Amino acid sequence: MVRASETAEGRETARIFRHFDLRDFVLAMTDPLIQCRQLGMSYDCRETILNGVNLDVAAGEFVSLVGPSGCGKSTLLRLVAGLRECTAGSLQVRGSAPGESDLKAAFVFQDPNLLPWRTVKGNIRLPLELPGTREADPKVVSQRIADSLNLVGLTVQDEAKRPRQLSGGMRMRVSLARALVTEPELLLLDEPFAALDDILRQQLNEELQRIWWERKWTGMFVTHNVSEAVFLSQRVLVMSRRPGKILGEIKVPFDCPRKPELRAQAEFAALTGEVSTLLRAAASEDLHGDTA
Amino acid sequence: MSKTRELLLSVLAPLVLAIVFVLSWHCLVKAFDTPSYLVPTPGEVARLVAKNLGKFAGATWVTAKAALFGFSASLVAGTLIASAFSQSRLIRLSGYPYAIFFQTVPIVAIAPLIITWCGNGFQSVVIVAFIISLFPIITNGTSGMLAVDPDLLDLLRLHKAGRRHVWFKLRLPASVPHLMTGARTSSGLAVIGAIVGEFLAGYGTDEYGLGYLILLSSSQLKTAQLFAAVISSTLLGLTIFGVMSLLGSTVLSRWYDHE
Repeated sequence: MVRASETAEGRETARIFRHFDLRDFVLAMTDPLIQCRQLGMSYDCRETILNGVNLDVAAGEFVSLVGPSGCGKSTLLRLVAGLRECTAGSLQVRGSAPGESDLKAAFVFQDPNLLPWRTVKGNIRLPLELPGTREADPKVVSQRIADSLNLVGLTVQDEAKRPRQLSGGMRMRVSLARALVTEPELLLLDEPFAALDDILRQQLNEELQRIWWERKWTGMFVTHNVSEAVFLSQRVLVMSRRPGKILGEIKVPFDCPRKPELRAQAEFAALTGEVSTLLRAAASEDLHGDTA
Repeated sequence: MSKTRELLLSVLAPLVLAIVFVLSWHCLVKAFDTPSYLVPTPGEVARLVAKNLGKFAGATWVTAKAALFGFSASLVAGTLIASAFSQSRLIRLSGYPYAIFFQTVPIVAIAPLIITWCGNGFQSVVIVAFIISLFPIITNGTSGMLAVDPDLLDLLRLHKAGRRHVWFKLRLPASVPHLMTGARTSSGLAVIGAIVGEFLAGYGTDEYGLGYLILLSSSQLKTAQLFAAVISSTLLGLTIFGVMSLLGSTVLSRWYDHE
């Protein structure tokens, strides 16, 4: 008698169930938090950045966007944040236009962009002083700052330091803490670790993965690093050259929260290779425009 | 250690040059037997200053006051104008040509108007110092307020910050280094403005400044007194510039490595 685990079908079923997660199931059953339909964006009606982007992101999901330089990944994040307006198609964030949505969103930029005249604490506090995310109670403010510092691995001793006294990695941690202090439901990250060395990048990837798992926000992450995208995400979306659209999607079935050892596994390497192949296809002229 | 040496060198080198200059001046006057109404010796100038210390100190103080009032007014007005310019392109385009007026206006040409409106004396001198020192604050302030990182503007916009918040939390503090650079230039110009103002309108009151003293000494051929007044105004300019530079580096060193 042949056991189920020994047949091809049985192995596939076992693979699916090994990665089955209640969280994935819930994500699949709920309405998407972000929904783009035939989304387009052009500047001055001349240069088209995005064209025909169709995308759903469920609440609590972590999605990475990879694609050739200039394909509009960052523009897509800014559209979702309500910082730019689309010129074609529709974009809804929790059922409303991004600017009108009550969703609490935070943004982490490629450059930490800390204010040099403020201390670490002052920089983290900034969003809590602004109308959209203001917090008047000083006790709550202090608690939130302490929580954010703790989440990103900074200590109370770092609070009084100025940005110039921090290393590149620490600055990025402060930038991340500034985003997390608002307790966002949606975190948009635009190549936040691009300027860091590989080891530091991997460490911050692991910390970001842990924070996402603990806090359950929805993440949209733009990167040029395929390994980083696979490690962090539940789905990797590959975009075409400009005008950008979603060329392909690769599901990442590994259990969360992910451990550093994952990077050494053959399955991880296979998925990374798969994304890279699609990315190369996206970058090549042959497939441009007719694959999506 | 090297920092102390550098500081010492930055003080000693110009001091040595000044000593060489004064000695050469003395030797040349003596060698060519130049009459003192043309070029007095440094000793004559020093003796005159020592004898009339109160007079020179008083004149320097009057000029310093006018320069400081004019400079303070231009710092406040320049920052306000720069703030208005940073708010919209339309305001900038409409207002900038008139701001250039402060840079290009021949002060001698409008001095009669200032005197007609405000009369002779201190107030007109302050106005001239203000007009001459305003432009660097406007240009530096405007460029500083506009040079903020677009990502930071996006960050503030994401959290629903209005113009007021963007100005207070971002544009104004970000422009401080630029304003300090403008203020350094402007402080020197304010001293020049005060002296020019005293040439044109610094008479008719009991107290007079260095500009009027220069004018008086020149007309009476009191060359030693003229030299002393010129040296006093140079020292005044240097002092104000030095104070501004020190203030700037003290404020900015808290923020930036390079200052």
